[in-house]
Amino acid sequence: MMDAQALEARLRAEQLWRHAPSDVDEGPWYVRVLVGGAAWLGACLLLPLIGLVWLEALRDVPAAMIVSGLAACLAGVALQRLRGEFVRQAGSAVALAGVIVVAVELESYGFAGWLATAALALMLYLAGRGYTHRFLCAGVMAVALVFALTEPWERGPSQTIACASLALAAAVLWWLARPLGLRRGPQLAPMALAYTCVVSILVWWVPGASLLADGGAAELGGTGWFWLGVLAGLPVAVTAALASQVDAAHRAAHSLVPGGMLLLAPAWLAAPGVGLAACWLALGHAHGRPVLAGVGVAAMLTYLARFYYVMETTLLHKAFWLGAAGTVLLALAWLLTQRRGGAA
Amino acid sequence: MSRMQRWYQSAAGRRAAADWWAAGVIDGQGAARAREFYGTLDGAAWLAFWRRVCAWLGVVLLAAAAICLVAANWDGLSRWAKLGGLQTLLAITVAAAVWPRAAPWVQTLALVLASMLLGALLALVGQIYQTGADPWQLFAGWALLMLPWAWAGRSVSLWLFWLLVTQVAWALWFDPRPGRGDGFLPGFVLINLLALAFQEAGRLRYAWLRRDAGPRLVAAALLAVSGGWAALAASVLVRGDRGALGWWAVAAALTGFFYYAARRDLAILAMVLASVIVVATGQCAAWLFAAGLDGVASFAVLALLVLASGTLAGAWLRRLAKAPARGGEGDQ
Repeated sequence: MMDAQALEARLRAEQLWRHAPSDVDEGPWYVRVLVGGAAWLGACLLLPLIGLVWLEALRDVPAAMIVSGLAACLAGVALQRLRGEFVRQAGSAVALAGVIVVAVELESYGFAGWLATAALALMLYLAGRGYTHRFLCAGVMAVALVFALTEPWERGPSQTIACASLALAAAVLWWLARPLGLRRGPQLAPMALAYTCVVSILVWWVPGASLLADGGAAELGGTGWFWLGVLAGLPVAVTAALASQVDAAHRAAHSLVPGGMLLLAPAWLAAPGVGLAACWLALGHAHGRPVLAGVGVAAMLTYLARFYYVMETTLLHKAFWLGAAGTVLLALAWLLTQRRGGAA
Repeated sequence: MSRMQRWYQSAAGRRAAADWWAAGVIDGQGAARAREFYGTLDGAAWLAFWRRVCAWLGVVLLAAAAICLVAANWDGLSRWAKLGGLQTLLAITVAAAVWPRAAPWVQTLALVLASMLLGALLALVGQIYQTGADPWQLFAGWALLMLPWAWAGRSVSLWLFWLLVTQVAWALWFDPRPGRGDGFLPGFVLINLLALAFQEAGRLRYAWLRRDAGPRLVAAALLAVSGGWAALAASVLVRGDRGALGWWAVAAALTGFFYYAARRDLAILAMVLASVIVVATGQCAAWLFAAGLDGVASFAVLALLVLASGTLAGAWLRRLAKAPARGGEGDQ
């Protein structure tokens, strides 16, 4: 299999290489995480400067916070356009602090306020440069959308609706961002990763439903069941879409995976986080994104730890669904081993 | 080259080609050529991936089911049925692990499942006979009984699981005893440094210890806990715990020196640098506030410090990443 250097050499030899990359090289994943973490911490530390100064000075002027926040956003984007790594990181932090200040001020406007915050974060996403900046802006956008959809924050179907909508959006974004799919696809990857991270945390608050429980259906309501069904069905859709990309010789064997996921859907109704994590793991592997695959594994383990304490499902029902899902998965692994033997 | 390394290289190549296309470095024709090289999903590799995911996830879910079943304390099963059932399951998994005709990956999975079921069995014994044992004793017993399996299994996953159980026992030992919490951090740092030393020494001799994931996960836990503790030690939350800073410094210095000079691993160096930034910010915050500097100005100074140190650390790591590879260097 050809690596990046060999591919570059081949493309150069075939006169298909036009010029050197102009964009700033952000380095491997651990450098992005380090620099992104520093930018996020810097943004949090800048909040008092951008927000509190105005709060103290212009306490009675309601627009002061919004104006200062927007000014910070503009300044941040301007700094992003300058040369120099430090200035670009500072630009990210200033812009991020600005959008958070605006979000705090607009919070009292409810749905419209959160939607405005999401729109502002989207504009910063489009105007800014670099993976780290876009990831942080998309994270703010995803959180704002969650609050918009769950306003007021009460445990119930609203979390399920927000989680399922964002999970669908993340899956579609990952599909559009697949390597060598669309030309502008890579620019969507930071948004897809941010949505994935937010969904992986939000799913902790999604009340699952055990089909064995009495009265569970009535408590959840039609809307809740529908969106929970969407969450449980997402692994089927994702694995079916990925199976269609497999070479023709192995396609028949791969139809087993979506079939298995369909069989597992009732278990994902009780534990929706497990099915979602499987989606991220599959997409990460198929599209060659180790960070996404890592997020999938981490999301799976943390959700299982959280699931133990979920109150909607009794421990006995949890044991049943987990045991049933584990048995189906082991059977699927055995079937795939047999197919491998047949294929070989 | 292992299957995982082939996948990683191919993935990096595909992503690089996509980035070149998006940046205009290659045109549509170049992208089409790159697509030809990578083609559709490799069916055999994809099948192997799903086989592993299904098997691992199945084992983890079965173990989680056993733990939930024990915790449910179901009246529908007698104590003998519960004990007998769990022990039968344990015996079957151990038999599968030692069955000579089983594939190595099946043996490893069976041993992982047996190790998890062992903890569930100890909890069940404590529940039925009301032994009065503290939670730390359960975890310590679990770690002790599991140790031969962790060694025999020759699997990084099993070894990391054993380390996790050991550290939970250590944490629980200090948690419920007021006044003894100060000893947690030194023990935690020493356990993890020993674990890193064991992995690095064993790497030369045992193939199963040559994966980078093991040291990286141990280093992440070591630096996150000791660094977080040291940063908090400067604040009002745990003021006075001066030893925390020293233990973190020992952990960061030894880890950083080894993974820079002896076996370069840039991901672990990034973790060391992140912990340095967090601890330095915590200490500076304590000094600035103690000096009576205005709150807003202090935060601005801290923000500048964080951004500058993050930029410098990122630039240094990028330079190291572009330097020629050294022997035993982890993936980039």
